[in-house]
Order: sequence, then structure tokens, then C-alpha cells
Amino acid sequence: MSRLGGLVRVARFEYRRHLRSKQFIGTTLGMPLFMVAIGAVSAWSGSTAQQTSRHPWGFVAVTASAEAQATLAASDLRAFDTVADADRALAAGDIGGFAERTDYARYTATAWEAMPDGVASTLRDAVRAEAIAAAPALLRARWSEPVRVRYALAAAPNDVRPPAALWATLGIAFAVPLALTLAVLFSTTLLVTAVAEEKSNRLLECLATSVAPTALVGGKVVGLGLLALTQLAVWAAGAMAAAAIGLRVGASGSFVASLPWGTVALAAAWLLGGYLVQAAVVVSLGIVIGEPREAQQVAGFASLGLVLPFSLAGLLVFRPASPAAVWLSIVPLTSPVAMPIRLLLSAVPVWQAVISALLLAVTAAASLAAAGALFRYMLLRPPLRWRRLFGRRFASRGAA
Amino acid sequence: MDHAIHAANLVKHYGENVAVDDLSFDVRYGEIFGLLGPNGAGKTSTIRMLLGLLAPTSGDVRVLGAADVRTVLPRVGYLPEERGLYRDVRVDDCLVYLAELKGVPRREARRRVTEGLVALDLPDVERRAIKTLSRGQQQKVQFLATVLHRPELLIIDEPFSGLDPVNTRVLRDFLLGLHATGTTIVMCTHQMNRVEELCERLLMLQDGRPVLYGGVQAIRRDFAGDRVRILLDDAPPDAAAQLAGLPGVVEVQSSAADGFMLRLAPGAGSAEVMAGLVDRPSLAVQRFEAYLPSLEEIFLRVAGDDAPPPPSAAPHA
Repeated sequence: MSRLGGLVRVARFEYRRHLRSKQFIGTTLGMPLFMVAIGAVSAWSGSTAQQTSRHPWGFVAVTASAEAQATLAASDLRAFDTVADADRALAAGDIGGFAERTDYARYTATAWEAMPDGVASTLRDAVRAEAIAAAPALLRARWSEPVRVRYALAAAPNDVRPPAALWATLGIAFAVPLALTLAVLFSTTLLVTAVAEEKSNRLLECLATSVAPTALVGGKVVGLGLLALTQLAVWAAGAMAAAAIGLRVGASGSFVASLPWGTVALAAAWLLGGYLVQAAVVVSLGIVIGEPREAQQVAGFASLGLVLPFSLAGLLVFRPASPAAVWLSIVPLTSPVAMPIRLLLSAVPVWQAVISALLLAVTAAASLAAAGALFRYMLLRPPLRWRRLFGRRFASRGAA
Repeated sequence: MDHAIHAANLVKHYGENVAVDDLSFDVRYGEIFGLLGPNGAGKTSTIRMLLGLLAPTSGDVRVLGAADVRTVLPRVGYLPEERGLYRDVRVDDCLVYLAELKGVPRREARRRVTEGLVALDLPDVERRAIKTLSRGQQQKVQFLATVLHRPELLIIDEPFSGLDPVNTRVLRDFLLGLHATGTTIVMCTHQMNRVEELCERLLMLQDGRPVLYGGVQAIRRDFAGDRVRILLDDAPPDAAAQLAGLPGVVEVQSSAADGFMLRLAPGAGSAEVMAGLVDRPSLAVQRFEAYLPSLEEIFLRVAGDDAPPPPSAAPHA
């Protein structure tokens, strides 16, 4: 059998085998369900907070503006002519509180219950309607037309906080690399387990008489990489469905279209490089350690490079052009996550992106070649047991 | 004559440790060949060199006529001693995958899996996860994985370990069936009775060197020289004493099942003993035979703790 044929068969087997595993199904379906659960709890707590004011609110205001009166009349607020009337209603439990206009644009609230959402904005709208009505026609036209702001992302200078409207961009900038990273970590966990399992039960020795070691390793890396893509596809479909429900289907189309797909594709390319580097590391660990659980534990440490940028999120968001952020996005261990975050948040100088991509590509190729060589070398050799190794070291220290 | 396996002056060093030392042997096409030896004798290293998994330090190997062993591996089946399969995978999926890696088309592999499971008395396990099978069943499944691609050469390490007598018989019959179709089988085992039963020739290693090599019966005959077994009809109470007095006899052992075992003095022959028996009418001989030691006895004699250093093995025809 050709090397490519062997690789394809190994990849197909590893993909199908893990696709049916409880671990994959649980993680792939569990993650969106977890997110939905968090959203539901958040929504429920929000609605609970809104329900803390169970009585309507009132206001006491004297205004001659028909526009202001129309604004107030359109709301759920009850109007009182005097403060005494409002106090009586409050004492009788008819209202949860009332706002009294004490100045041109100032209200004082008297209340038993928290002010419901929207009361303050209604009062503000009434004041504004009153002011607009009194203004000259040209100003009225300008003020009536809401200001439209369209954000364009640029290289954020140091120490500049993004405006509130950029939080959506921030969400995408972290959600996309996070989803990619989770998929990569899950796949590489399966990969290290698969290699260590075959090493521990000596199945590798049999397989090595059927397929070249490089095809064996390559097939596992490709198969589990495809599994990660499948997982991402399920998560993306879940996110789209959630967006369609949350944004009422029609708007979800424009939301999807508004996503920076080109940058998302670049982020995926960096994460692919990260996957290959990480895969090479865990294949090496699996073949050297040869015991699934121990190999998984050590592989956890090896994945710190991908996790580190998330723990330095503040640096990447608020100081994306700082030397530390630049280094994080260039060093191949952290660049698969740091660079996508920077790409999604700000304009990255081309030279930095090129250097980062080249370094990552070279590192991926070199680490895969090294892992292949180590795999062949360790194929028939006894595994190295870390626990025993460290256990002995600690024991000898204790004895000393 | 062309051989399924031809090894010439094989040497394998691991650093300063010599695992295989100047090993030469042939395995004929279609025979069942035993590869024996105590633990650490160099059997596994030899097998791995035959399979191209290890490169010999020096020496030559030809397998199925090819010097580049890896080119003929699709025609070879290998069952290692320490074994395992994918525990969470279904039996049929696992077997089809392993057969496909050996080049069997998927549909054909599925057909052979079904047939093979029936032949190995595993009719209802096809869709079960491997981890749900008993150890013996798993072992038979792994054996089936080794032969699904119908190898011309089968190398099996301890194929019967862990099997109960019923499954041992099933596997033995399966092996004999393969042998009947012309498959060459190299069997490593410590079960000497299986070697006696199945193998036509054997090679015994010790400390990386060959100490026995040749036909099983010829080797047994070569080690038979100094013993005679006698079965008597109604042996008198002093039978052992009478036998000890026969010319050339230096020791008599008796057992209810096997009668009397006479060890002869160096140079003494069974004809002298027989002549002596003629002069003792109270000893009614039912059976008289030169004793062929079992391979286990030979193994212990050759590879036991008090065995002499291994000589270079000359082939026993």
C-alpha cells in the first residue's frame, strides 16, 4: 500500500472512531448547550431584575410642551399633578416610586422599589422633545435625526480603551480564537491518547508492519484535525442558529454577513499552524511516555502556549501594539492565538504578520519532521514513565 | 532451494549488549517452524529483524525472497506476544481497518471478518465493542486480524497463551487449516507440547545464539541416546531391583503410568538391556522402547540454569 493510501485509511479510521465516541459527542454538543444555558441564566436573571419593581412608577412634572406630554403619555408612567398626590399613591402601594422634576433636566426619585428599566430614558426623551420643540426649525431637524456612528477598526494606540460599541468586535475577536483553540486542544488530547494507547498495548508494532510510521502519524494528525473541523462546524452552526433566534432570523443574515470573514479565515490559518505544532508535540509525548493518562497530563502542560494569550487578554486588547503583544503574536508557541486576536481587533503591520506566519510554518514543518523521527526511534523502545522518573528523584531527595 | 525466510549471520547489538549473535537459519515454504528460547534469548529481536522493524547490525535477511523486507510485508502476518486492540471500537470495524491497512478491499474485508469470526467460534461478537469481550475472545480476534489478508508467511508469538483448552483447540485447528493451504508459519512459544504437536522443525536460541536447529523428531532422537523405557505385565515387587541389575543400567526410575525408565551407562546400548531381560523370565515385557525426551525436557536441559554454555547448533536433519 502506498504511503498516501495508508495515511488516508488511518485518517478515516481515526476520524470515524472518535466521531462516534462519547467524548466527542459530549464535548461537541455540550459546549453549545453550556453556552445556551449560560445565556438562559443570564436572560432569566435579567428578567428577574426587571421584575423587582412590581408596581408602575409615576412622575410629577409641569410642562407646556405637547411633544413632551405626548412622549410621557406614550409610556407606562402615571402622571401626578402634585407631589402630594404622588406621595399618597406611593403610600397606598399604587406605585413603586415617582420622579419629580426639580430642574430643567433634573428629576428626584422617591421610591420603595428600584426604578424599572426605561423610566430614566423616557424622562430624558420628554425633556429632549420639549427642547427640540422650542428650537428653531433647522436645529429641530438636526436634533430629530439621530446621529449615526459607524466604527472602522484601526490600529489602536496604546492606552486607548475601545468604545462600548466595539465590545461586539471584542467578543468575536475572542470567541473565534477561543473556539478554534478549544477544538485544537480537544483534538490534540485525543491524539496524544491515541498514540499512547497504541504504544502501551503494542498495537503500534503490528501497525508498523502494515503502514509506514510517517503515514501512521500523518493519518492520525489529519483524521483528528478533520474531527476538530467537524466540531467547529457544529459549534458554528449552533452559533448561527442562536443568532437567528436571538436576532429574529431576518436580521441574522446581516449579522452573519457583517462578520469579518476574511480575518476569521486568517485566524483559522494561524490556528491550523498551531494545531500542527501542537500535534507534533503531543505525538512525541505519546510515543515517549506510552501511557495514555500520563501522556495527557504532560500534554496539558504543553498546551500552555495556546492558553497563555487568553490569560494576557488585557494586554492584547488595550496595548495591542506593545512589544509584549507583538512578541506574543510572533513567537510560534503563542502566535496561533495571539495573532488572530490582534488581527480581529486591530490593523497589524504586514511585516509582523508575515514574520509570524513564516515562523509558524517553519516551526510546524520542523516539529512534524522531528516528531516523525522520534516516533520511528521510540516505536519499539520501552516508554519513559514520568511518574517513575520523578518519583525516584523525589524519593532519593527524601532519602538524602 | 528458495526459502520463506533465509537469515545469514545475523547480528544485533544494542549498545554493548548483544541480542543476536551470528544467527543463521532457514524456514522452508509451507512448514510450521518453531522459534524457541528462554526469555531474553533474542527471539523478539530476531522476529523484528525478519519484519524489517529493526535493522540488523550485520548479516542478511531475505523474507519471501525479498532482501527489502518492507516490500513483502503485505504478504506477512504478525501477532506479537504482548497485544491489544482498540478497546472502544467495534470488533468488525477494528478488523476491517486492520485488513484494509494490509491492502484488503473494504467489502472483501467485511466478508472475511464474518467468515473468520465464525471459523474461530466467535459468531456473535461482530458488533460488540472489543472491551466487552473476554480475554480469550480478544485474543482470537487479534489472531484473526493477523490472518485476514491471507498472508503467505505468518509469524505468531505465543498464540495460545491465555486460552482455555477449548479455544486452544479451535485456534490449533485454524492454524492447521492455514498450514494445509500452504501458509508458512513461524511460531514462538514456551508451550513445548504445542511445538511437538505442530512444528516440523525448530530453532532454539540462548543468549542470542542458536543451540538447537532442525527437525523436531530428529532433535528428540538425538537427545534420546541414554534412556530406555520398559513397560512390564504384572511387575513383581522386586522389578526395580532386577532392572537395576541389568547390564549397562546405572539408574532406574519407576512411575505407575510410564513403567520403568532406565538410564544407561555411557557406551551401553539398548541391545545389552534386552539381552539381559531375556535371562529374567519373571519380568514379562509388554513394551520396550528407546525413550524420546519431550521438548520440554530438552529445553530445560539446554536452556536451564545448570545448562552448559551454548554450542553452535549444527542442523539436525
